[in-house]
Amino acid sequence: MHTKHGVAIEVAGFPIRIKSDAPDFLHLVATRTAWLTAAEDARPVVTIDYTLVPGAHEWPREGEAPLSIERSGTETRIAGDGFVAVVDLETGRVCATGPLSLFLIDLVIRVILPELFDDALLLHCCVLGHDTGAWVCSGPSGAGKSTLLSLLPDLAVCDELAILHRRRNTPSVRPLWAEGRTSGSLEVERIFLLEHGDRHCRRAVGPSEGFRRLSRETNWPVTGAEATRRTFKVLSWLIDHTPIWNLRFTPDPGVLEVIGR
Amino acid sequence: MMHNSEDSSNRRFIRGERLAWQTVGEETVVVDLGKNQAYSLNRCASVLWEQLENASTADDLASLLDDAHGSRESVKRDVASFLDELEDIGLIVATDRPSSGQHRQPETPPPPGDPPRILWQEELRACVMQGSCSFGPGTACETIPPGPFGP
Repeated sequence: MHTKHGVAIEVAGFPIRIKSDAPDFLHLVATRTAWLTAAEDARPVVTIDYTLVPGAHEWPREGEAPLSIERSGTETRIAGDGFVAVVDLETGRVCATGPLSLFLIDLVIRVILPELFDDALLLHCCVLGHDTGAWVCSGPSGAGKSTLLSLLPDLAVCDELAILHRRRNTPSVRPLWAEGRTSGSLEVERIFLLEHGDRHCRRAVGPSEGFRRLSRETNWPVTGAEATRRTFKVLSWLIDHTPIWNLRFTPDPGVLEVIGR
Repeated sequence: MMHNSEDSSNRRFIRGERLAWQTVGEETVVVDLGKNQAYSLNRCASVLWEQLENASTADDLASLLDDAHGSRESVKRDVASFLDELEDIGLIVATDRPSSGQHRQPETPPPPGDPPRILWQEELRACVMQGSCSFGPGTACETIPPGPFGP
């Protein structure tokens, strides 16, 4: 339900308010983010003022619709074909202009979360959950994350973005788009770096290679040195506390035996 | 920028500002927080990196590596070349501060035969465009009834 004050949602424990003069846009936000609804009186860490303009609705595909992220002073400007958002985390204000679609809200959230995290990072990965913990499977687009989830649907927890964090000194993971502040956190048992192959096999990955490959899939902060320092510290800690494997697999559910071995 | 290693061997260097580093396995990963670049230093380079907390010349640093790393002159050349590389990418800066003379022998000497070097470097990017819109069809909100305005 949206009100004249906009729509209040909560992502990764952070209250965010989305305001607009356009009722159509607010209705879309309220409908599509219903499972993230926050209390109306929650004090937002960020307020997004959205100005609706006619335009395309497409998620900007890498290489097809260039996205620029530029920092100037306290402001970070996210711009692409037909949309722009200016983020000022010092004031907690975001001024966004875009079409009747939520992709710009999604982009803004992906940019601001790494700045807000204290002891966590946002990783491009899928997550498989089991009785005692989770296996985090990461890799570039096309490495096999969606394939793996389709092979093991009963274990699927999250298909694209997850929050890795230190919870009671244990590496933990939760889906980015989980409801509530603490729900859905699982202990990370192993991290797999995925590759397609002609048979299932895995090999242990050393910390340096693990850092390098995971750093490519980490959504790093863009607005300041301190946030980058925090993310670096969290990633180093995770690598120090989690076994990392390279997993080569074929599209066959038998891969579970290799993952869980 | 190219340097003459003979000249570099007499210059003093110290770590730059806006850097963070962590030991990762047997290596050291250094992040330039201003440029969002990460560099991994091998074991020998990690030993030298520790010492660069204090103003150091190539001579100071070469003296920490024992004869197993080669002749004194060849070790000094390797170290000077490594310092040039670090200076070029901005991880160290030349300084007028006097050499502190506080260089300590490493507790675990680096293995011989592997001169100091940068093993890899990576740009740390905001990977915000990975995947598709989280609020579109087929994603996290698929179970949410579609609104009247489409995805």
